[in-house]
Amino acid sequence: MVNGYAPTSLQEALTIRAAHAVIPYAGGTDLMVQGRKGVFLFLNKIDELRRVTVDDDYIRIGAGVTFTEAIAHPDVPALMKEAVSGIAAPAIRNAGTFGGNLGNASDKADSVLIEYVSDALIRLQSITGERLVPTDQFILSRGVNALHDDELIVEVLLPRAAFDAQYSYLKVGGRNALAISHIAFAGLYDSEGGRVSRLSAAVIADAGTVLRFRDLEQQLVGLSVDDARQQKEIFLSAFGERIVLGRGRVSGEYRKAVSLNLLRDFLDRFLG
Amino acid sequence: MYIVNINGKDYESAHDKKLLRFLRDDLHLTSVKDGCSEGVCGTCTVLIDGVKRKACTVSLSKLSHKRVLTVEGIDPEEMRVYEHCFAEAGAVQCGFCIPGMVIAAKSLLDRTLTPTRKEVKEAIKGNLCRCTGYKKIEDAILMAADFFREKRAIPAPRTALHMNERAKRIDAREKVNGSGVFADDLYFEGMLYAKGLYAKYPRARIDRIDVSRALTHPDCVEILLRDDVPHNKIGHIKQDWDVMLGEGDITKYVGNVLALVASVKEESLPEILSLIEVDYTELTPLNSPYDALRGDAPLIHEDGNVMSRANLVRGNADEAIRTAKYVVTRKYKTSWQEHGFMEPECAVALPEGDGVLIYTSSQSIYDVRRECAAALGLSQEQVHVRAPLVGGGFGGKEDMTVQPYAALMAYITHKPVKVKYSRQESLDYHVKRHPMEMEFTTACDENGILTGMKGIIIADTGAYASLGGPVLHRACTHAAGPYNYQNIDIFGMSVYTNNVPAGAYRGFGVTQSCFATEMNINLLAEMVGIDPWEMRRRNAIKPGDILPNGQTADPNTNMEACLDAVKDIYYANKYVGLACGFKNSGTGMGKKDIGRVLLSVEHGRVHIRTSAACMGQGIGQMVLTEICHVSGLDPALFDFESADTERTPDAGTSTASRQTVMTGEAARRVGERLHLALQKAGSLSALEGEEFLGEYSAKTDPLGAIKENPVSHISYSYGVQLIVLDDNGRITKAVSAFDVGTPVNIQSVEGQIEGGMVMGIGYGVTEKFECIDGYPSSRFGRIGFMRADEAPALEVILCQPAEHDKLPYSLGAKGCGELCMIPTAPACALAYYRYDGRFRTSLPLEDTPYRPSK
Repeated sequence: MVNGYAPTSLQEALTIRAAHAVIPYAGGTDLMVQGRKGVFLFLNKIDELRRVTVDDDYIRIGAGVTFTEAIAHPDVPALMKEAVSGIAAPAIRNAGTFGGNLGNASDKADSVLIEYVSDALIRLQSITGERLVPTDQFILSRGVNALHDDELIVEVLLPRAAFDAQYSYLKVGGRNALAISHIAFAGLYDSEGGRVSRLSAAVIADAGTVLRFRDLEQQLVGLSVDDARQQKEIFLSAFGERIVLGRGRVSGEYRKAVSLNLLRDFLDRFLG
Repeated sequence: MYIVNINGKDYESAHDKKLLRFLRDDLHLTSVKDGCSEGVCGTCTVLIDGVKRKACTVSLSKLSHKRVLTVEGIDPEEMRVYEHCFAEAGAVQCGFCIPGMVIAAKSLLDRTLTPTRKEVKEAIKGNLCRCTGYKKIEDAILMAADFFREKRAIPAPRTALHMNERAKRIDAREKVNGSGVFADDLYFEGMLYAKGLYAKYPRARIDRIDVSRALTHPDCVEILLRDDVPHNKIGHIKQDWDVMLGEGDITKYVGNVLALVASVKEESLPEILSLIEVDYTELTPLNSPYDALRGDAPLIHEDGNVMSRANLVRGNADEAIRTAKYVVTRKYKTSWQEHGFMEPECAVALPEGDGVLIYTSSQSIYDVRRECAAALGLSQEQVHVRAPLVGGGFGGKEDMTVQPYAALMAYITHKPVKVKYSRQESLDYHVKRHPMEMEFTTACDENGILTGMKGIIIADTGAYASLGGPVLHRACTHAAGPYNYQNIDIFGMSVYTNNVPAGAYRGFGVTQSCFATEMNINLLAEMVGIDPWEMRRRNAIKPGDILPNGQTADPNTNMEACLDAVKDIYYANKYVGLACGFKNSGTGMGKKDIGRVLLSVEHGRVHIRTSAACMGQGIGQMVLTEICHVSGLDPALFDFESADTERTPDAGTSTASRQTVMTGEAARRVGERLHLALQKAGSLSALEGEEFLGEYSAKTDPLGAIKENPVSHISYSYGVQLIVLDDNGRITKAVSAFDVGTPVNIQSVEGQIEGGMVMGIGYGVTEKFECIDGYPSSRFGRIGFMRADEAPALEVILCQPAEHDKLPYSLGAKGCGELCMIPTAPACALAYYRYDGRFRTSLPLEDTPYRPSK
């Protein structure tokens, strides 16, 4: 017997969240597998969490939007669609949500990779107010995020400008379907007037969190494409040094080598 | 007896006739043009008691006590204002519509000197123009109003002339005041009129031709049949065209000539022709390439129904498509298009020595000489060809139409002979744009970067080859678009049918394949999730990239700048479509491609002599500008001679957007030669009697050359067009951002592009030429040529490459004659897709406000 609350509005849900020790439950695709005991706060009846909207700056995906819904939605960027369409099987995509992918703070969450690389913001709300937290400050380590006890994940804000850029995306799993990522790579690139105007690269490599090194990226942004090409090897070796991997499902050397290969392909593709 | 007052003077006519015929044939007031004699085109517009009327619709019997005014009768002072303003605005291209436009303008400006543009459009909406897109004509009329109102003085002529300036064209004046001579304006003593008897069926055996009754007609002078033709097969490239067919032959299309009749009176020709008896056995025509390709289809020509093939393979298209993220395959279908040049085909031939002299409207006097000499079995030297003004061509005057018939009849009768197509004959018998059916597959990666394409093109070339081979080549070599990807596999086939022949038409096959490629790219953009502008910006060809045909893009490639130039306009509009295109300048492909200009100093003046045909695009001004630019001489020192096989060297056909580069470079070279000679000699008079020849021969590689990066063409122009619709689906604006190198003369370049856009909108949306079961079935007034009141606002943005990157020939000028209508149709299609969500795959687009579905 599962006990819980099933609010139909966000206000109601936040009130319950503040007053009781509850486990937020969206698609349940992890919670049900884990067999967690406790009182659940069922969020899937809340329409406010199930919308995709677009404003001047952001594509805003509600925390309760399922991956299947996102794939079918015209406003969700192609890169995000590509990433979430590789999640598990259709049944999981039908239930799994953007909020859930963030809530369990897995370091292999496919949607979260895209949120990292695109500088997405996570909107958290409580009965007393709300916070906008950058993705890399929201995920703290494997299984740990910055969500307070009285907060709910409400929305993912994807910056529109990031998705006007060109991208590279590749997921490496044990098989084509139903696979958890061993390694996944996402990179964004744009140039303006012959200069690199955007370059960001994020990797899932079983490293505790998604890896992204802004300081390295900033060394290339603003350079002419020709100059950036000259800096490519330096960038790659610096990136390689930062990848320190512990034990995982597949060997650390393999994960590091593949990560760097994907990064090199990305740079070759856009810088030449 | 009919009395009519014309330009202030009374004239008498014994017979009632149309005013047009009286003005032209009796009074030789030839500013009044015969563009259609159907009341459609307005080239014969005159003022009757101050009201504008079409002279072809009014009979003398209705004109007693009325006063008729033609441009010849306009006060000279007033005329000078029109001459200046039309030239200054760049309103004059071929000039055939211009006297009628001046009359229409006068009818407005006699009422008000403060007209709005809308009133101007209203005033000229009865007058068709195929060259200008109307904008510059409207500008000219508004300018004239200003000159009259403010009593402005006409500025003195310039004494120096440079590239990239606005300058009045040298040929504008005679075209405005009507003194310029077109072939049909020529009248000779004792001149005969000849006309062909055309086949009744597109495919039938001719069992018997009996001309005995026709010969008894009192006005009949001569009737010629197949066996009177010394050499019966001619043709621009492939010699497959029957000058005439005779008993036992099978007709190939309804334009086949079975008999050629000469009469002393033009008006008797229909009656004489009706007296010729022909028995046919009707056969089933082949009306589509698919019929002609059937295993049991009869052969239209002995060498097979597949007239030509083209195959372009680079990289590995199959692999690129197999591994691509997004792939789209669609089928497309395009229809015929009629050139609709304002001047119908006309030739006047006279006996000269032991040969003939031909005056005719064409795109190359040397082509006319070659083909007429062949048909008459004469040497080249025995055929002398002179070019009067040419009232528009657009590719439609490359093939022979009336010329061999005029030449043959003059040669045999030893009399001057005029052969002129009626407008309906022109529509029915001259070549059209090729209908093509295409299946294109295009692939891209997740960022919309194009990776490969495959295409099949089947073209209906009709009964004769005409330029079907090169048209197919160009459709294939340009099929992938101006983008940076190299996995291409295109196969094209041009097939004979019993339809009206298809041949050259501005855009030359690229208009068709551009439609298919651009539409596929729109679908791919949708799949990628980026907008059509962004998709094109990511793929646009840059200097150093490899074009899909394998050629390395030159430093003067400025496609990206064109896209950037329209970005803001694109995003500011809701129902807006865009498309990109590119077009070669020069025939290229390893073919002989030579421009020539000869200068001779005669009586203290410099004569410019070149055969490069001006069908309205402004060849004379182009050549003069190149020469003045490099020599620094006053343009007033030059006389530009009209083309004449005895005076002007062969500069090749005016085709393939080639003259600005080929003859332009020849002009630059000869201009520098003259400049050096002048420096040495000290004065022009010291050079009296001397000649200077400028020649430029472009070296290119043939299709299929075994080279990593073959040079298929010496240069390419690039561009993007936008089409904007209003909330009712009407086209309100068309924008071109083009890289055509250095503009030689800004008005001329803008005028070409503006006119091209309107013609392109015609191709995409408003015009339809039909050929049903082998019978051309369109009337001039119903094809859907845009009129001034429907033409959208036109904007031209010229994106010149940086000075140091420019084409090293012709002072950096590239061709713009064809590119201007290549991307228009797909831009229209995208605009309508955004307007109503319907993805249309055939041209002209169906179900628009201009052509609602039935």
